[in-house]
Amino acid sequence: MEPETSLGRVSAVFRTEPPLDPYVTGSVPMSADHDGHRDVHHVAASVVEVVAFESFYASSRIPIGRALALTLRDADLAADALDEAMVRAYQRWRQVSRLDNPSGWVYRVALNYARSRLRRLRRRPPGQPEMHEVVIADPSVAAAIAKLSLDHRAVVVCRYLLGWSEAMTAQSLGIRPGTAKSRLHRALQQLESQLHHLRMEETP
Amino acid sequence: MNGSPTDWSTPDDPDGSATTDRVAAYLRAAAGQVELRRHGVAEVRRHARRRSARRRRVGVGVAAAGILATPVIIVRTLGGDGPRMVQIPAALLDTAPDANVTAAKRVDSDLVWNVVRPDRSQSPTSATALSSGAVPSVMLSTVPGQTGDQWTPQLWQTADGETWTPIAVNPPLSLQVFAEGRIAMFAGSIYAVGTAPGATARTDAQPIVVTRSGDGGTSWTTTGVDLDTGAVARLEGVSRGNASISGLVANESRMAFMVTEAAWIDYVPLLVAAGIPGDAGIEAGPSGITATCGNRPSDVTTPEGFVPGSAGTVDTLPAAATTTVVLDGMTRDGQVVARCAGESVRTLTWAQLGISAEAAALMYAPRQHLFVLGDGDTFTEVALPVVNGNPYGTRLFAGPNQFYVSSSNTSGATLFESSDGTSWNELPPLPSTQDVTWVGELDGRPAVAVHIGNGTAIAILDDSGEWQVTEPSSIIDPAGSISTTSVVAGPSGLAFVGQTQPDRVVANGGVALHQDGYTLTIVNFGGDMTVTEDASGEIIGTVEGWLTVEGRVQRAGRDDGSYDVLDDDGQIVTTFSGQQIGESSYSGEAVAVSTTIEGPSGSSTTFPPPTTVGPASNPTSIASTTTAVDMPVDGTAPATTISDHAPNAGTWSVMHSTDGVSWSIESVAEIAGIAEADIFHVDRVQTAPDGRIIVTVRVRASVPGQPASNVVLVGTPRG
Repeated sequence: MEPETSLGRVSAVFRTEPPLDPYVTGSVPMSADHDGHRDVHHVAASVVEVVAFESFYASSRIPIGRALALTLRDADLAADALDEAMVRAYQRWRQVSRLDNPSGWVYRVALNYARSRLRRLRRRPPGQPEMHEVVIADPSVAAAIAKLSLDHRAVVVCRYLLGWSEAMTAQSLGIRPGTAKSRLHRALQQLESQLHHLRMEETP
Repeated sequence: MNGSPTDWSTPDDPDGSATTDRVAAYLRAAAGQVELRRHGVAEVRRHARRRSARRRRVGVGVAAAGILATPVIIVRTLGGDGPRMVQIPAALLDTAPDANVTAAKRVDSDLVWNVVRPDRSQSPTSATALSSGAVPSVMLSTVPGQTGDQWTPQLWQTADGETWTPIAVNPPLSLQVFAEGRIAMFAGSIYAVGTAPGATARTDAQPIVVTRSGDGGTSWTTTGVDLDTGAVARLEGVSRGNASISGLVANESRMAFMVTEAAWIDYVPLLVAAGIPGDAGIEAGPSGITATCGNRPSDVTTPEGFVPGSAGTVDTLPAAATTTVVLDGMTRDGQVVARCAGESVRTLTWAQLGISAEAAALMYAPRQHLFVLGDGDTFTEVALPVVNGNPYGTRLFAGPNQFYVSSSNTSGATLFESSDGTSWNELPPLPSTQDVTWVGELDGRPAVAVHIGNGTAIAILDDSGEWQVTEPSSIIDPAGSISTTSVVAGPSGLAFVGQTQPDRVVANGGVALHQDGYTLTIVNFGGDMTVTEDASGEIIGTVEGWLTVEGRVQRAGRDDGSYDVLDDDGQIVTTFSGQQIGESSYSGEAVAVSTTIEGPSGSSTTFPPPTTVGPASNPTSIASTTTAVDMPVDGTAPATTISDHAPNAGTWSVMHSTDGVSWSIESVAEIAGIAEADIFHVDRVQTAPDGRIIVTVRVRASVPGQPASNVVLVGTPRG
């Protein structure tokens, strides 16, 4: 067990990955202005934030992006939304990194950004496949998930793809735990009603 | 599908029912097939810094001067302090690519288009996959007349884009493998690579199989590859392993594909068992997990009845307390705000959590394998030219002569080439980008599509070993962008399809919103704005990139994109609603919107309608029909009633160039003779051996529930 120290987090992160950014490596001038705004402490803090963010980005971009793509049923929109959310996360990384689940914050910011884009762009006719490049052998499952509302699909994706607990799902989506549980229950009911024929097929 | 219990169980689904198993299996499989357009972390940081740097430069009263060789700006602060000189690190300024990026020249198209609208009974509908590269090609779709809800795979083959022939796909295994959409033609055979059926439970191995037909689909043979795809799931501490195909390509002599293995670790219960508070800030890294208590963002949530001990911290609450969170005057019950006390940090290694180092490493850097088709029917694993620590950072491409592997990480991208897939040469360093979206060949020279600035740029390796970069988006407008979906190179040059998006705000010279004696001017779609006091004509505040404010303006507390204008005492004098700003930014014209903010307790506040109404050409009768939730950093979010707005998306376009420098651009909708809004997606562009450009367009169903259709555009070079 590493000692609990106010710098523990700094050292733990800093040791794990070499600094990769030119700003971090010192190839960029680090001179201070008259107010000392760019002193060594400021730079050290920036180093930590950049490296920590890179670690977060590396570990979360793919799973969160894929979850968004399945929630939104649009990989391009998911990529756009994720990029925007990541930019915002980086800008306020000190706050975001202290959240219980930074990935959940990014997921929710991206989801809201995508909602905003969607309502401006178009209203899609129901029943039309919106996710290109994704083809699964079980079309009925895909169709059933596609018929869920965005809110219900988001809960299902958080729970069954990202593996978040109900509490974490609720926190990430900014809803009450009871609401998350209710949405999940209703979503599963809806899925069950549309997929019961598959269960019948499995019956010997 | 098995119905055995899994640890996906929830209180709603105590037995891990077949439904949840099936849904989870679908989501995992579908997730494995999602290819996110690559934007690397460097790009994210660059965008964030651009916003910050622009904020500094556009600050009120800023005079910028490029003095000497060191970037310096002179800032006159809003607080009345005298101007002061600030030296700005180069990384904080807008960063130009290292390579010399050439603006593209716009030329007229030399393509003559033939629009193929096959009879639905004889043509692909709801096409879902198309083999990459040059035709002859195969397309995977539903059988004619089916919708996305009904799914029976149908293969079609074409040699010219104009005639499509159905191919039988009968064996059940082939159906399963084809369903994953990794199909290609090589040496007269049709190949599909995917996971075998039956791999549905989360811990099941997913064996990779290859199915091939050398007789046009009459018969199919299936083989496996030597890869234990269950090994990851068996590692200590791994909750779930997954293997997916991440590329299937062929050059003129060989065929190859990549498999990516990833691990998921559910470490939260382990942290709780280790005594980490449930509300601690968790940061996972390759060497372990760091949990942080204290110093939480108290500026967002303030527990009722508790006084923050100091700025940036929240005092201790009883562990089991249920209290009320107060957010901007609205309350929400039943929330425990904090259980952490003070500033404390605890770091646990993965080993301390019972997770093997190999498993932890796989969580951050999935394992990638390269398989190459030998002289027979067997794919053999060969070493990749680089081991990349960046998840999914290694990608496989092919041109007519070479295979290419791009390796991207935060410091940039490296490119390797190989004629046989086994021995690799590193190419000269790519321009300053890590976002390689496509690699091919133009006139025998490596050509790369990279993402920089406003979209896709093309880099071509010249005879001297230098990358010559051209940015085709420059022919749209200076602020416009291109989002590319497919790129191809062939005898007639380069072509790509994508959505072009001009900045309507810039095109219209900005958008001004007037309210209560103040004018908010939107400078561009990127969220740069100024606030002017009408009486004095003085700019009193600025907003940069939606987020960064300076002067007498602030982001409204509900964080929905609204901005408060402040008086000299810091009191709010008026608020420009986020919805109006958003709608106006998108349309490029002032749009009147009335916004209602509804609190969770049922209270609501209606924002006053703006005094400025959009021009007659942009009617403002907007119905409020949709509810969305915008989000603050922490805590609750108000529900915002928002409106539907007329569709105003980008333009699907096909761009073509014979040399990579001079580009034509044409509207897909105009070529196809359909409305822009009817285009669902433009998936793929391909080339034929005679130089024809083939574009497949998915068109929305005219009647909801009816099958979508495809339109194929075939462009023939003049002469």
